[in-house]
Amino acid sequence: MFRSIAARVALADVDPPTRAVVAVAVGCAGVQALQPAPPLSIVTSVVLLLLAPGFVVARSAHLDDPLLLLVVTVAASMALDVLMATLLLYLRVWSVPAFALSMGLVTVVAAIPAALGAQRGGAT
Amino acid sequence: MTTISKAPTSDSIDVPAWARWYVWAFAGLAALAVGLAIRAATEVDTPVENDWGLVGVLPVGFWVGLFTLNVLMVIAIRARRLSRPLLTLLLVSLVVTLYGAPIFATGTPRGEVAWRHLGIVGAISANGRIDPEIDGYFNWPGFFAGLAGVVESTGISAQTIALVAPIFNVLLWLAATAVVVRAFTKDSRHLWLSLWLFALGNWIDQDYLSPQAFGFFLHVALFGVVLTSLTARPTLPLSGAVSLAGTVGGIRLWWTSREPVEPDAHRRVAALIIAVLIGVAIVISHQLTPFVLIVSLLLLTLAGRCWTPGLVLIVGLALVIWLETGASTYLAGHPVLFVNDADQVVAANLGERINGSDGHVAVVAIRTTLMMLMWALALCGFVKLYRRGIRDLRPLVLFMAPFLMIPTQSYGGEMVLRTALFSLPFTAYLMAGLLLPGRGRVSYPLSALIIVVCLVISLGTVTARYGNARFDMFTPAEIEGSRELYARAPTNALLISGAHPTPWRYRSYVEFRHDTITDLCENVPNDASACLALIRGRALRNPEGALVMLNRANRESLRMQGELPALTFEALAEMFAESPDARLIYRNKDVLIFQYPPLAER
Repeated sequence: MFRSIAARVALADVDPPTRAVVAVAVGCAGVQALQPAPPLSIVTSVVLLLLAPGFVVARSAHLDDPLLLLVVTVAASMALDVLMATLLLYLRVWSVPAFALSMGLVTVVAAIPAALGAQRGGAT
Repeated sequence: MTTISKAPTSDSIDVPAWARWYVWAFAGLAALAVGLAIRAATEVDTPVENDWGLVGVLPVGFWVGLFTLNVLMVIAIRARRLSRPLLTLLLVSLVVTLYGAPIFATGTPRGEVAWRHLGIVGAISANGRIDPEIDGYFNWPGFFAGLAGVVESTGISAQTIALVAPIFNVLLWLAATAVVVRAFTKDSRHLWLSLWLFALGNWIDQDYLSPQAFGFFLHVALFGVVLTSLTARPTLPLSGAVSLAGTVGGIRLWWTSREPVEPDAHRRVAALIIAVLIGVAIVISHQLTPFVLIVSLLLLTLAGRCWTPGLVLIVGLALVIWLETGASTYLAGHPVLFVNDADQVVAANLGERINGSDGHVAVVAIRTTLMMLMWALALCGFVKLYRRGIRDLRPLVLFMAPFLMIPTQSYGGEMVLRTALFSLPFTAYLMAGLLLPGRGRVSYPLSALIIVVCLVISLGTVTARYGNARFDMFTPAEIEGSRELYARAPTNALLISGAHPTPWRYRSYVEFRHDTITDLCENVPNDASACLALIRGRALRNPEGALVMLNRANRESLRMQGELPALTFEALAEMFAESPDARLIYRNKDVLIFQYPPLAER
């Protein structure tokens, strides 16, 4: 059982593209938390705020059409940005590192349903 | 309602055509056309000295570039084998040309509201919290909160983001619209012409850095999900079901005959979660968009084409919760929905806008004509598609849904404009359906007709969209004047501008109270002395005094729109100069700033 939980936490059952995006997002969140200067901050922000969380969410719906996947990736990422930023502001814990780390966390959490689905269905 | 989709297919799209000589030739011509248009736009000087706006001052090179792009697009659509890279390049070229013209002309954001939105982002970043007492924006703060995150995370200045926002937003809108149109048709020519008409016909000018532009992208993207992964198809026609089982039984039979187009339940659940996520982001970001979203979803559900009726209920519930919590402060004094009678609605949306100089009145007439023309073409397009056997009611339902909002929301007199925006993806699809033949290549005469339609819409859009350029494209002197205003204002001073087109409130949004002479003197529009007395009284009551800024854009706006007689404005400037209480503290060629000193200095 412990091994199963560890596997889920490590997203071992998630498909390779999603796992790679989650890993990149976590890395970008870590870099962003250190508040780098442009152009690094632009690259990490685009990945973390415009692409990664939405991509993981979109993959869970198995969107086959690349254009639909792209649009949902960007739209869902923006939606998550808005929701997370608003939440942090209402909680009065707003800061760039907190925002970056929370978006990294959101990306990881968004991949968990895919991991569970993979364990249930055998593939994602 | 019976919906039988018989969209034509295009098998030629899958054949790679990127290597064909004409693709490279067209790409080169497109680059030349964009270069020509951009170069021409950079030659435009501010201030724009024409009541018709940019259309009156853009050099011929701009029009040659725009004309060339339209011709290239129609020829590209005629080709036996469509090239996606070429069509994408042409579309991006059009967006850069059409939406980038004022950017290349001035290098600064256009319109007061974009500047104001920078101030809201700055206030949120600086305070690290949302204070709903400030104003309505802080009751729907989602977009501004997200933007504050992007600005602080990237390190890109908010002003730079505001500058490029129209191009970025329209490209996002086009991508989302492409998803929606592809749910209606497999005909690639139809898709590309729809996108072209969307980009050409978007004269509404809501794509600046704003919550409505953001909300519109999410709105269309959400329908991209609904029309693909969450769409349903009744297997029985409603009329057939009713004739079989009576009215009530027939409707029930028709409803239960619906099938999901996406057979996998897990995928549908995931798509529903995505739709809810996007819907909630819309609810907390913009006052109007959720209502249009809910009405559109409801009509689509009632048409039997949305598999999950729960989606409209969830978004509706989210809206109610938000109105009762996050937006409750604003709603305590402002009803979010208010019903006007027909006369009030017409007056607010059209009548009150048809005032002012001859050029301005002509521009407003062109806006109205263009809007009506596009809607008429769209309706004819639906009839043509229907007669061809494409009896998909979804485009018509989604085209019509925003119109239902007109009687219920005056929305500051802008609801008709918002309706034009929300129906635009479907207007464009239906218009393309009218212009294209059902099958076979586009004939030469038809190609010529499509080019003419595109050119008419191009000319109409540049006129309608940039018709206020005389006062919504600010000069460097006006922007410098606003900087001086904030640099010289004592904390808590009252800041007064001549009229609304002012590049201000981009900083110190909360620290200063901002007002305009047009608002303060609303009840004495023709009496400069009474107006001055009102301003003076307001300024002297404030312990920190007031700064009054009068600029060129204010004057032109008042003259062109006939809000406050220009003579009154000129008289006010003279009276401020002669007033013993006020002193001129700054002037440049476009700006005057007078100060009513703080109490301690009087």
